[in-house]
Amino acid sequence: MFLFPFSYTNCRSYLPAAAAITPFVGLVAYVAQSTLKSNAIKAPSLKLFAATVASSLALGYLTRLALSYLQAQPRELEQQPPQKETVSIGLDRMACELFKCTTDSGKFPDKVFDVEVQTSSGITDVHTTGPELKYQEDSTVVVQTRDYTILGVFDGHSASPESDIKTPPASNSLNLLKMK
Amino acid sequence: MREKLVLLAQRLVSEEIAPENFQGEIIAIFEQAQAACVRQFPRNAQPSLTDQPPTARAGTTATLFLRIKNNCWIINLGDSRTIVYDRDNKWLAASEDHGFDKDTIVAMRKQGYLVDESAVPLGGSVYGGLHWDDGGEDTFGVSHAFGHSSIVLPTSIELPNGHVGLLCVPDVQGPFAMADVLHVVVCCDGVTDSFPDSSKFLPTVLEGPQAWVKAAYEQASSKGDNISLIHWDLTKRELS
Repeated sequence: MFLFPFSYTNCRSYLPAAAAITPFVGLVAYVAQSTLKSNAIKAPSLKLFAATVASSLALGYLTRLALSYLQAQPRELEQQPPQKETVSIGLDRMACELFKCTTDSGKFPDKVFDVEVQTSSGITDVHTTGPELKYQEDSTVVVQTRDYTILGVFDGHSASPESDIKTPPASNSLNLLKMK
Repeated sequence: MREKLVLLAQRLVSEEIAPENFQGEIIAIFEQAQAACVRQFPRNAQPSLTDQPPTARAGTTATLFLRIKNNCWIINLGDSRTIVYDRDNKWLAASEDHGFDKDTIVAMRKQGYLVDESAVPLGGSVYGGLHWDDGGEDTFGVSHAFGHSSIVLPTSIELPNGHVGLLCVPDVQGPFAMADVLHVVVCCDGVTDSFPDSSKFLPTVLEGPQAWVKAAYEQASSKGDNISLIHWDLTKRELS
């Protein structure tokens, strides 16, 4: 019955209107109730039914509007991460064969190749590590919210940038050079 | 670093940081990361290359794609690259690999750095990170991302905590309009060697994860390197 597009933007625009008509809904309900009471004997059951239906619809509309607004709040994906899906693409063994690598037991290592797909945001995050490259595990930063996105890849080769960042350096005393 | 980047993004969203100050903020984060790297390698604790990670040629590099609402920035340091696919169906390298050319050497010498030019592979073969010069004094060098392994720093240049090193600041480009971006690919480490020509790898991105991951992996592994990538398909994004 209510063909509103309940998008986030529209909900925001409808809210002031909803707030504006709420007193009128109450007024209409009050008038209808008073009328029915004063003409209780004469009031046809159809009027009572119509008033009940109208009140229910109005209440339902407002409830749905409020609910839609709440659901349309910006989602902080840091708190509600998108559905993650590990995709097996059959490269683990191939990677090992390419690197001709096995563990001491002669078996292929469990993880040489990781693929992580964050399906709801279209982000695919991939790391590769070969045994002879076991010191070169990189780290990534993926943060996705409505307002901002951070896609960062940091080479972890013998240096983990996020592992120990507590004391800011006295950078103004350093000789900075922009290599380009 | 993740927390710092998130905080920076939030401050940008709330407009606590003026656009003209953004570059300084991001550089400060990289500087702190570099300082953390330096602290991991005490100056007098040169590791044995036989039983330790190959720290003599170790390094670090980073690339970062940052979207704030409808704009984006590209931040790159060292041997990494950010690439975008635009509405004109073109792949564009949004960042520039940090090479090591003669101009750089000249500039560094002017600043007092000692550069072994014969050992510098000009025009490529760059790698990032930290380096001990085991041929002389107990000096501490920093390779490409924060220097280059062929660079020996004069001990007069002191880092905090008594370390010696070289800092580089990242390139910061932007803002660019997000409306024109359909795909983003950030590649880290070894891209100058592994992906001098991205034309073979990039078209596979449009074929889906299985195709491009395989292509990227094979291309990187052919150079004996690992690789990390993030691909963002904006045509699939639900958040607007």
